[in-house]
Amino acid sequence: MASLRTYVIVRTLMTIPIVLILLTLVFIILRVMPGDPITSMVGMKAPPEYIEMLKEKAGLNKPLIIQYFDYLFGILRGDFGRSLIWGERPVLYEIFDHLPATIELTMFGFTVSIIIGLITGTIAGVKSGTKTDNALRIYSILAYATFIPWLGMMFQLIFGVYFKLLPVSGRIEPSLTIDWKPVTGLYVLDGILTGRLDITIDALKHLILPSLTLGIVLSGAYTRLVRANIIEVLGQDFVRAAKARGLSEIRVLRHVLKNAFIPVLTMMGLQFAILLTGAVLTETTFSWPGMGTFLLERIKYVDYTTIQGTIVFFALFVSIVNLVVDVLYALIDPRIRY
Amino acid sequence: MALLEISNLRVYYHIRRGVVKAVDNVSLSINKGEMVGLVGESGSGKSTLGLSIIRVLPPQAKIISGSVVFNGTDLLKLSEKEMRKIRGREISMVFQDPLTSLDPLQKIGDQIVETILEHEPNISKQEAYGMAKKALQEVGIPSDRIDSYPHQLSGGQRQRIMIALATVLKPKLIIADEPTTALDVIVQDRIMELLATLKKEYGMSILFITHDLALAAERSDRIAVMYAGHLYEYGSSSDIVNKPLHPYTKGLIESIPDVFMRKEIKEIPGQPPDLTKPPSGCRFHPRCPYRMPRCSKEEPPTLQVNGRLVKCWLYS
Amino acid sequence: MNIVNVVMEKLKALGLLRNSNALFKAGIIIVASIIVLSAIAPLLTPYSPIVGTGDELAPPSLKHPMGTNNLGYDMFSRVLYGARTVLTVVISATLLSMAIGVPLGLISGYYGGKVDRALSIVMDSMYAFPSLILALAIAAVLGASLVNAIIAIAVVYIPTYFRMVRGQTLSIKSLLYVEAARALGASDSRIIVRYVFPNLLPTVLVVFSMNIADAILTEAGLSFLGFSVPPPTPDWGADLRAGHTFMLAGYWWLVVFPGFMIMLLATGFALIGEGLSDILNPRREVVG
Repeated sequence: MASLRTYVIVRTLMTIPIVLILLTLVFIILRVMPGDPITSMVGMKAPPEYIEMLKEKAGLNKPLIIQYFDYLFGILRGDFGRSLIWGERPVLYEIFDHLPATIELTMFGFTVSIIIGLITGTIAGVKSGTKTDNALRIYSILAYATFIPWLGMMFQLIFGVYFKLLPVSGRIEPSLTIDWKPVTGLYVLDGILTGRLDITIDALKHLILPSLTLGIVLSGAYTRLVRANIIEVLGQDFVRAAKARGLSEIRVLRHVLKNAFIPVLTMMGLQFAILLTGAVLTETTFSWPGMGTFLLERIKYVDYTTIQGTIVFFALFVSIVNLVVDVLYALIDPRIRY
Repeated sequence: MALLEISNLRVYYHIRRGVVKAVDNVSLSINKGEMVGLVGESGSGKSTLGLSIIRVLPPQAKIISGSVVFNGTDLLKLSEKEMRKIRGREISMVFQDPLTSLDPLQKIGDQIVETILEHEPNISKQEAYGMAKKALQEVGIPSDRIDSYPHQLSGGQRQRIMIALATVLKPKLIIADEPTTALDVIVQDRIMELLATLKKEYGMSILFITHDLALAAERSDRIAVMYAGHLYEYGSSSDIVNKPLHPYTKGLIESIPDVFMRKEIKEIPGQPPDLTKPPSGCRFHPRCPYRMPRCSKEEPPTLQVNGRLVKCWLYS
Repeated sequence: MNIVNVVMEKLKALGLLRNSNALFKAGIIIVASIIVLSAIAPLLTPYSPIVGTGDELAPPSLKHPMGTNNLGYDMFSRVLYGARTVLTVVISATLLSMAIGVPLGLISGYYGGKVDRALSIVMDSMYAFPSLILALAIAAVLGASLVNAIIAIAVVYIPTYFRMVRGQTLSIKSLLYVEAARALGASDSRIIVRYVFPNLLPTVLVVFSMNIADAILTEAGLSFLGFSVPPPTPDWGADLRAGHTFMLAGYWWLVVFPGFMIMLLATGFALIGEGLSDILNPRREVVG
């Protein structure tokens, strides 16, 4: 009988080729494409020796194959390259500087989307065919089709410009952070950890609009998925059989939800990629100093190595999250084994 | 008094094409401790009848009229809450496909315990587990499998678990809807044996729904024959099998293959009708070799002939 | 409310309004209207979307129904012509994506083997990667232009078509009547053309519409971040980018209208997809 352990081991091993391919793809896209990144960065008027020196530094003069292996082994060592602009700071450090902001935003946004999605999806599924269901379906389509920056801007307009209730940009009021150093980078948590509840509250205030924006748009996909799953599970025989045994509505609902939410879990993992996309757009709209803003800034300055390192980091991150989700899925559903 | 008395039951389905008159004015009774075989083709309404008794019909189905009196109470008049007390406890149902009828995410022992605790909330979990183990043993499943998941067991074992679930609280009536159709012949036999033993030991009545007349005849005390939403013949097994009165019953018997090839297999010509537009008069008349002009015009009454019920103009 | 009821009754009487088709029809109406309106744009507005009218930051009025932006461009004109840009980029990209993804998926699903395994892993990896970021990377490398935006978006969606077609091909391949045809000696190309392709069509159509909706959002994302068509080409996402700071100062009409159009057009296509999906997969009906 296959065990959970076997599954985890095999699945983890499977991640390796997937990651390799992603890394290779990134390499191909960034290096094999036409155009000289260094020249783009410093401009045509720079002295050729300067360009040569930068190219040397970035390792662009070596043969492609060597570049490829340097790149791969570098990543294995945890070396994601060094910035070409910001005084040779290792890209990894710069990533860690900006990552907590993105994590905080995505965590809150994700929570909002799950809550909305699960509730609306369950209601729509249980009441399928009724007006409530149709209304919720239309809601989910509208939510999905909403352009994140636009929704963010609408919120900014209403709550920031007209009603002046909430802040529209940034993570925190700068005046509050004089003489204060964050611990984890997650300001809401750090405020509590350092005994500065005013920071926690202010951070929360800044989080409201961006999280709502991200959460509402993302919930569209969840509503649809949860609804579809609930409908499918409700139609299954064991629901009827459970009713036939006289089980109460609550007990039957518990069976239904457990079975229906499992595919939702995998979807949550797949949705992670979409979460990142949404985060990038939300950060730009709310001037949120996270990974998204960071990446875009470096793209603007064509800080080649940083861009590459950041995208590689994204790729690895996404792969690991997918792995974790798959394992969680296997934990819950006893049928998933190799 | 009969344990279960169904009178003039009408159950219709509302689908896009129209209204399907799945069960149209059917009356049937089941006595204590007897096995009644409800026989009919697909679409005859037999499953619908079974589902109607404990009211677990799909949302498109509506019980239009009639009564289902169980132990003196009309089940159709009960509230959903009161109905839930009956289901699983006084009347249980065993379904056709045991794999899809069990929650794949829950251990089988837990599923039995859940049913016990639903109806007897005052029993301790330990006691319930003990009862569950005993129930498994009674159906021939070793009690060490109590922690297995449904997909880890064979089809026959799963069906036994369904039966355990249905009998653990010792109901008075079991409705078995094609319980053996998804199983192979040998397993089928064992399940039938199990049902017969339970019936004898606990005095349970069984409504055995099947399309297989021979299978029904083997163990049933009485046989009811349904076609196109109507009940056409109802009497003791031996009477029905040896001296069938209704032309449809005759046709069914003649179409049973005989292992020793002693007779020809005669098919009943034609197809079962579309129940949104059933034939006028007697619904079997288009396929009946004995049809008379009257049959296509008026629906035949249900008549008592030699202790049997027959719905046919031939006997008026 | 009453007018709506009257119209609904009329449509019902004509037998045109069945539940599943309502979504589809709504979607078609929305999309068709936008296409038509943008096609006849010159008839609807005298202003060019890329020439200043001299009125800067003017609020909506009869002269400028959607106001003007900081460069004096008439927003109504930009919205109408912007539809052309968005539709051009998105439809070209999707068609390009299909042109590559569908055949690859067919070959991979039908012939299997090493080619299939290799392609599948590559496509799965790409599929798991955030679409906007991938498009961003490609567009950043290629440079901001109409053609490059089309290429970037096309590449992002190739795995979607590949996976869908491959999956469908696999299941169609194992259908009994296809096996029968093969046993009777039908050639591979004949089987693909006569059996696999027609069965693919319904699903491809549904994915196509949903995909366009998604691509509209990706294109908007790209131009919002500055990596799609260069200014002053009219584009809704670009307008959001340019108008953001002005909006915060109170000039709301610079972003409300273009952003709303993005949602409207994407919704239209999504409704078509949902409607189609309902029509092609009707809910099961239970009988007796």
